[in-house]
Amino acid sequence: MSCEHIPSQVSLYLYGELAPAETEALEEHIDECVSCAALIEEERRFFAAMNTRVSAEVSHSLLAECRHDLMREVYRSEPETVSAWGRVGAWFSAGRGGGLPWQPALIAASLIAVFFVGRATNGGAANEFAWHEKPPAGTTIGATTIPFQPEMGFSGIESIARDPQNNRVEIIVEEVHRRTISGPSSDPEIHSLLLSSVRNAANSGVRLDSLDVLRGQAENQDVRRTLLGSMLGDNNPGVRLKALDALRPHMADPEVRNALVEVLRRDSNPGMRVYAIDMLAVQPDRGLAGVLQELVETENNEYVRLQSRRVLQDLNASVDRF
Amino acid sequence: MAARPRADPISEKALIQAAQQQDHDAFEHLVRLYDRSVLRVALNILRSEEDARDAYQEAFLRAYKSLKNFRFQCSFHTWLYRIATNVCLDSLRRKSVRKDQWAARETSDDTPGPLDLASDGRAASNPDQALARNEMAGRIGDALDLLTPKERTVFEFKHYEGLRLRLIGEMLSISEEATKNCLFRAHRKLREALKDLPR
Repeated sequence: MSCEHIPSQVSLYLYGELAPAETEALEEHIDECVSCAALIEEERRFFAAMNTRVSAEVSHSLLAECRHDLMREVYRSEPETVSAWGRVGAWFSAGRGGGLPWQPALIAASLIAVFFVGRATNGGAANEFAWHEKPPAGTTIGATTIPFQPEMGFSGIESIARDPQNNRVEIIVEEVHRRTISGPSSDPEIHSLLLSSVRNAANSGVRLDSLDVLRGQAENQDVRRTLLGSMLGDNNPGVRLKALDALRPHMADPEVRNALVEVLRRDSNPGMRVYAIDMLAVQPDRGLAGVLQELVETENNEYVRLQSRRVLQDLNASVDRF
Repeated sequence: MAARPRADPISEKALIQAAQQQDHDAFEHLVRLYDRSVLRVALNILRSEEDARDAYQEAFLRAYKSLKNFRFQCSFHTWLYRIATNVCLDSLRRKSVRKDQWAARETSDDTPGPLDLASDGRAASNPDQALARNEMAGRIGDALDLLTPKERTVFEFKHYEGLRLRLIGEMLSISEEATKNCLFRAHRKLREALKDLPR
């Protein structure tokens, strides 16, 4: 190896990226060449100087926030279990927007299907079934013209009767008229609707959006109770996770801590259990070690057990119960 | 030098297969195996906590959506890092476009970035040393900003993460030779920018 080759090889040599034969040739050369040996030393100092900029440390809180946001998005992208009403509603929406023809016979068939499904499901989740766009006016079902209004939707069908003499059908439809309510989130009507939608909305996206608005209002007892109920009882893990996160600033409240212990013991989602451990560990109380020791014995999920052990070690507590 | 995350290959394969079947718990396990290093790399490359958070989210969501196409032809770690690297590169490119636009409108801004300040965390207790060290870290950060997104990424992966050039090339979809050239150019630019740096 000659001097002219050295500059392009120096950094690769120091990074250990040269092939063994190249390394040997370079080392033989610098043993005999003072100027190239000096070049290597200069590069070493450059490496040391570059190491002055320490690699960024990832804080526990930043990582926890990133994980939380990520898993919320993952759960949000989970296909929702759509009720029969919702599926039919979506079908109607797609039909109108996507070019499915609004043939009268098709509508009639659909309404009949809706009616039967509605009965079978006792009218559940009817709030998912609402038209969001204007249906064509004057749509005809059989021989009957339904006077659709521009903002018309319906929440269910109350009854249906058929006259066998002339084959006419009478359907009593419960109509829903949509309206927009806007104002500050502190407005009593809006506040009440937000609480109600967290508790009752069939669509988990709506529940998540409501929680987004309410998350900074957990000082309010009604909001906090609603969040607690949502964290413990919602069937969507993304919603439970969001409620849990909204309660993070209120760890001093014994009710919140007790609820988190319930999450640890009962929530079916290991991610929820891990977040509950993380939150409880920030302000550990005397009972936490016992709960975690119990978890180490009974928990099925390896990662949750691992986290429980880690916190017990941080607390200088025994991993086992005596 | 940062330790590489390690996972038992058998259990990792089982986790990947479960995650491919929409098992969210398995996916979360995979995330937790690698996300600290992905986030650290994003922080180092992007030098902005906000951008790094966005890159973390986008990288793992892309991984989640493409997981069904993962065929075990390379290690999961390489595959994931390739996604994260591409996300960071895209972000750097967008940033450099923005920066060029700002530069046309404004004079230079010497305000140190959050990582420049954060890098003081381990500085010596002596305030003068801490200040000097912080200043040096700031100058290194500025010099790194002179590199192209690809040079910057290669340098970060090699110098600060200690990855092999072959692996870096795989992640960037370039040859090992091209990776070497990229590293060489990065070194040359950095040495030029930092030639008066006390050593």
